[in-house]
Amino acid sequence: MTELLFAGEHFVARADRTLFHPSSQTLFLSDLHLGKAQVFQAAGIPVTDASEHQDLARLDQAIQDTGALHVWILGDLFHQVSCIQACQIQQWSSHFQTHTATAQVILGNHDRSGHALAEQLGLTVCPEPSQWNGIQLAHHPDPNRHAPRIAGHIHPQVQFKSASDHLVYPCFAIPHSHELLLPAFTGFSGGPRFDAKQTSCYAITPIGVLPPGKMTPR
Amino acid sequence: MSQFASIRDYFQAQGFTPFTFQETAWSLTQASKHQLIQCPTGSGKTLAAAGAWIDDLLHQPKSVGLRVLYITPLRAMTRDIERALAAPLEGSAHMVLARNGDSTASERARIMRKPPAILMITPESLSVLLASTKAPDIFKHLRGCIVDEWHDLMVSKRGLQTVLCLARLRQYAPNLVITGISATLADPERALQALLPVGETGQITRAEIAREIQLRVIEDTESARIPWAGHLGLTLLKEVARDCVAGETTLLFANTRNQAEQWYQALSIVRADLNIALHHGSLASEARNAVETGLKDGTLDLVVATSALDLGVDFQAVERIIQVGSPRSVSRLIQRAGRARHRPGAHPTVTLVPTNRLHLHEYAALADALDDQALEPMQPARGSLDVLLQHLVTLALQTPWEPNAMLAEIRQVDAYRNLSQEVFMECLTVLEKGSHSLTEYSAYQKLKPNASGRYAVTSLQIARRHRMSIGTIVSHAQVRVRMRRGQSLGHIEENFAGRLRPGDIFRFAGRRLAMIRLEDGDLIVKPAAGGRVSEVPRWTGGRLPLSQTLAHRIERAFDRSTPVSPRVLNADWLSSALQKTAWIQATLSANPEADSVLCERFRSRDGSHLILYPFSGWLVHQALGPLLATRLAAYTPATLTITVNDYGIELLSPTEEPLDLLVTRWTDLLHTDGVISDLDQALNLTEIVRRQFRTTARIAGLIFEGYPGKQKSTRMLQSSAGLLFDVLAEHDPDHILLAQAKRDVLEDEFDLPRLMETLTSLSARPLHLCALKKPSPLALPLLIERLSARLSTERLQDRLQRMTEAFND
Repeated sequence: MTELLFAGEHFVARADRTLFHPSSQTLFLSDLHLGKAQVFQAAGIPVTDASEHQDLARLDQAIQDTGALHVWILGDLFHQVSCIQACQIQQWSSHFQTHTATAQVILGNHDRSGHALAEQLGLTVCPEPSQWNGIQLAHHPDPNRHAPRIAGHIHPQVQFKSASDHLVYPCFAIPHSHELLLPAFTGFSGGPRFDAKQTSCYAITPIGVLPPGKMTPR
Repeated sequence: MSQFASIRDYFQAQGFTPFTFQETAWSLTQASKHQLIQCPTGSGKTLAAAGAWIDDLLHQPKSVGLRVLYITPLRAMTRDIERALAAPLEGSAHMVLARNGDSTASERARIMRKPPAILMITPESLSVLLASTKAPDIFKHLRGCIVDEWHDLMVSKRGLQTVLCLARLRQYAPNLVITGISATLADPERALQALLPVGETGQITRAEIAREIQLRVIEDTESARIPWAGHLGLTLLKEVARDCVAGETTLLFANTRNQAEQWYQALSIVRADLNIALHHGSLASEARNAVETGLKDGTLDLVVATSALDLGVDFQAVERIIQVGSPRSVSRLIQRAGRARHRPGAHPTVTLVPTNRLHLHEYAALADALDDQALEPMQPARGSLDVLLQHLVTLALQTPWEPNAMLAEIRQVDAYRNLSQEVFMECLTVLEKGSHSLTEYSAYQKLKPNASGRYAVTSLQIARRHRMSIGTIVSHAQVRVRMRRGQSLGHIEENFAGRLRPGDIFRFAGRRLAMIRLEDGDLIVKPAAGGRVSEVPRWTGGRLPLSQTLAHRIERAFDRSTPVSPRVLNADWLSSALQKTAWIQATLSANPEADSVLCERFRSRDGSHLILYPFSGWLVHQALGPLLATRLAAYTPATLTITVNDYGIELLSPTEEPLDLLVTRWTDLLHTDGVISDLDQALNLTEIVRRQFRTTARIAGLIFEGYPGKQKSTRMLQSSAGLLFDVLAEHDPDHILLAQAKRDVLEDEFDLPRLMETLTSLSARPLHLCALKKPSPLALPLLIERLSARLSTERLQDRLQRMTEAFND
């Protein structure tokens, strides 16, 4: 758990790849890519269901731990809508509908024609961008960076390197004072790498979330 | 009428007489005997292997279907061989055609419709043909199969793919005669056994062209001394440049692409009068073809090349061979020397250019090894499961197969002769369910048994994707280097490209280029007018480890009583140069000896150094160093920095204590129990296996590189091998592909069998301790190496700490 200040708001960057706003009891996450493992399996690539089960269990735990009343999912809820089976929807909805929290979703590029499915899961579909406390919430980063925005989409990772060594972790990245990029929530994802020296990143490492330039978790 | 009259006529018409070994090979083929023909490139191997078949075809008035398959690992070779095979058949009813990755769709269709008498093919294309439903028809008339460059294929997964294909071909043509062609090998019988079906035998046919190789070492002068450490060797540029003559072709071999680029650049300046060309594996194929053509026509005066030119590329022998640095193995030297023109009564001579003084010892060792005819032993690849899984899917595309019959077929392959029923069943389960463990893969599909228990491919999509990704060659991720206007210059490793920033200047394809940007996987560049080369391109280009055969002999070269072999033309000079080094080494430290292990210790401001010289080669040392460090940690906690090269291992410690312990506990540290688990702990093996997994994943069909020109349709399936590795390692750690990747790392990257041998032999040799005041000649290269090859045994937190220390500056 590491404090993260963005657009004048106090957030907590969590090791479970979610962002929490304590004063409003709101939890943010992005890029779940539900059904991704099965898309791979159908193509003959062994990616086990277990990775998705783990993602969903982590979501349950995050909501429970924070006691969040509101959940925002910033896009790419699904991986490929055309491949989703009815039984999968049923299984997923058990995770979304048991919580007392209300959940909103902004549809991402992977969610094309997934509006109805998202509603079936009990989520409220919101436009992109949506306004929240003077901050824009969106799936895609804003190329113009006019107003503060929290976005997903790119699955940021951070790279530490020296002449002989390097390590890569998913991260919360603040490449610009108006832009906060959330890590992909799903563990089964890669993404572009920011250099730890050049971009302000909160690295999600096995020893905790490391704020920029600090090597000891708080 | 004498035997083989038709092919003899052809030889006569060309003005040649067949060599004895060619006639021997023909008789064996005619008697339906398998054989391995051992012979250097460019000495008539193709017609030795195919002569009897061609003679037979010349007696057939009508086309007879596909008679002979000629498997060759390199596309580049096919044109020359095709010409050699087609010439004697000219005017007959029989065709020679080639099928490889470059063949057009219409060429492929033509081969299927009307197969030629002789088909030249790469292992990958053969697999693709075997996946066709028409395979039994195409191959039913097949009588012979020739496998070229078997010494090269044999040690790799492509070799496994080849022999698996041979096993299938024998289902269609049970009396198939198999002929291997290889360079000179230390153990040709083993090589032949690996090629043939289990239980069958064959003969070794040797070309009697034995030529004594002579060596000449470039001597240094008062003004240009050979340095104690270094990789480039440009100090001797003038001496080398003087050796080249306009109008006569010289071939200069460098070991890395970087070295080749630098030598090309330098020679182009000092010998502007020569027609100079550059050839290495990263250049665009048009550029390479142009050089190969130039070599054939004899229009080039000097070609600077890397090992990319070693294999197969057939061209007229050249006047002069120059080797910069050490060839690293006896076999490679012989192969390169084989490129020199043979003059009656003269021996081929290789000119050697030392880039540091220790190379002189390597040269003496090379000469010794040539005297002893000691070639590096080559082990055929062991049966690996990723290749098998790919092959099983390939065959299912042809027709559904029955498991018991399939297991029997696979066990016909020498590499898989001991494949157990149990492991085979695990493979079937992986193909059917995604894993043999209980982990769930609910939507998985690939193969399924049909109603009669035969395994078939489940969907058209799977079939199509598999056809596209057949093969076992996995290159490092590469990006194309392209000019703004679109001209393609070649490829470089992605991680090198990733380190460049816009405006950075680097050398490539013999030019100075400035980076503009990375775009759609292309590195866009422009010619750099001025400015400094900001970074010497350090794209790896294959680091060649020193062979153990040579490494052992280097020890002997330090022994001043051993005379230098007379095959070195300037043996006297070399001998006195060696003695000088040995004298300095003995004054500062001691010379290595066979019955002990030299162990040097000294202090510097970096800490306490301990250097061991096992002379076991870099592959073994990079495992042995961390292994020793980890075992030391059982006695005392320590932070050790380990550096290795081909000669030795350096341990650097902030305090003396752990190094004292290494000396007192020396034999206790060398036991062979628990080596793998100790290595696991020492090397963060997981991270290394993760890198290796790319190969495994690609071969087993986990990564799909996409349909040509259709990037978008596969986006939903994009994933990196590293990511797949992480998911499998976390959720299904027993998956057989992970086990395979780990085995590949232990055997290929760390040479586990040799590590075991080394541990045993070291434990019989006491340490010869020397306390130094300053580093000895042997130690210098290791001390310089440290910057580039640090092996980390630190904890994660320490690593992060170290990498971010610079942030606060």
